[in-house]
Amino acid sequence: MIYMNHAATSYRRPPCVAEAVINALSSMGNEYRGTSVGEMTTARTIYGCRQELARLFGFSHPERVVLTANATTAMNMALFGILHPGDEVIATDWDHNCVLRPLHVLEKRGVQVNYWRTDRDGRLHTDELKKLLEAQADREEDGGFDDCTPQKVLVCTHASNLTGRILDLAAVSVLAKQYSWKLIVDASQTAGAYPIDMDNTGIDVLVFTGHKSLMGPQGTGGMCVAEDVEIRPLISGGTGFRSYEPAQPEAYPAHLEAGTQNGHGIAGLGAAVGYILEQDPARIHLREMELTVQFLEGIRDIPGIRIYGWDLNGECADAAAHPKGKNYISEEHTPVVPLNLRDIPSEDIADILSERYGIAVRAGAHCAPRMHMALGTKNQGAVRFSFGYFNTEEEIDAAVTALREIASEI
Amino acid sequence: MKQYLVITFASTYDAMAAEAVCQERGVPGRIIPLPPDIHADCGLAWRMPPESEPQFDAALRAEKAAGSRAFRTDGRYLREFRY
Repeated sequence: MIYMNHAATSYRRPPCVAEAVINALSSMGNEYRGTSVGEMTTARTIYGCRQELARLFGFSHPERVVLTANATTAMNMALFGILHPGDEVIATDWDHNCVLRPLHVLEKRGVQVNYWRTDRDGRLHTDELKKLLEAQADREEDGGFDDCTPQKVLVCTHASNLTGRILDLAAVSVLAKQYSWKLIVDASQTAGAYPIDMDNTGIDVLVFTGHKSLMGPQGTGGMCVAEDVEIRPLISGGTGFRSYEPAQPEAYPAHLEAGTQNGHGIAGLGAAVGYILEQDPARIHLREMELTVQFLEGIRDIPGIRIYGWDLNGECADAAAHPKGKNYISEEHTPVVPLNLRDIPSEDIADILSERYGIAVRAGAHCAPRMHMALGTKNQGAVRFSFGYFNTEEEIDAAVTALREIASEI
Repeated sequence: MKQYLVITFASTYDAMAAEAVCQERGVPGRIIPLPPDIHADCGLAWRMPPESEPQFDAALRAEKAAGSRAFRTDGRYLREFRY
């Protein structure tokens, strides 16, 4: 199989990941439920993973790296744990259902939700965000909130899982701070494959999943919670200490981690993060963009093709001359290319790619309903190619050839 | 019976951080379950020979790790740590 669905999950992983999981399965006890070799192996492994994640994300509080089953769980914990009825949220058209669906529930409970909308090409402009922030500030100044000032939370995905466009987090963070909004970032599509500096960017909560660009096992993920952010626990339970206290301990990370951890998965995640730190996220990004530019160059003139979220109207690319594609790609992107061939349903193209060519991609809606509606692809969906660090030039050539053949037949 | 010094912590994370610092700097001692005659914070504690205390103290201060309180193994409270 030629795997090109990395925005959904990693497939080929560094061998150290599987080795770590296999070793963990036969050596780990339950973290903090004893101090024999097995329990201490788990405790040290999980402690080490937090350290590595904090280092990767430029976060100076590893004790506030909270490990969860996935990004969706972490995002729910953050949103439900921060917001109260009457509070205000701005989310974006780029957001995944891991943001949109919890907000739908919270909206019914009295949280005010507004959306930072894209233009017709799917871009988010910071001047539009500024307008939203100013409008809220005006309402606040007019005394529209009685006696209590609501909490204000801006939640953004770092990169669209559909178009791959990357948000300028530094600019967004400056605006958020200027207007006193907390900033929650969903880094599911960028963690590990694009540099992130949480402390210096001023991110309040950074949510990540372990199994995508972090190359770890499924069932891992989490969030980094800045020091001055308080999140009420969504779940309570055993922590292995302070057992006679009825309430969940205040100390992080146990404050937000109840029950047995996925120690075996975290062992794999720790190994994956170690590998990524060794490789360097900037280098991983560079390599993935080389492959992406090669793909775009190969498909851009296919008759009847529509490529979404990429500005290909500039000078024709010479990928070799532009290793990072900087002169070619005017915006920062993850290695994601959504496309359609004429008006053929995206699921049909994906099925042909899979059955005839053994190429794995994702069609349909990608859990990104607002982004599809913004691009006008609600009915057709889109065929999303997403590349990974271990894809090869030969695989890209095979995908280009396959698309050309399919296009010539329809 | 040999006497030990037992350090308690506010959280299990702090206990693991102290262990990591001590292992890195060669401070003798190990993590033990919190002795029942010490009513304190988390379920893990650090046990070491009393003579290692200055080394332990220096290691945690250097790494800004957090200890909580120190006890002798007879359960008598000695002093609170502030790093």
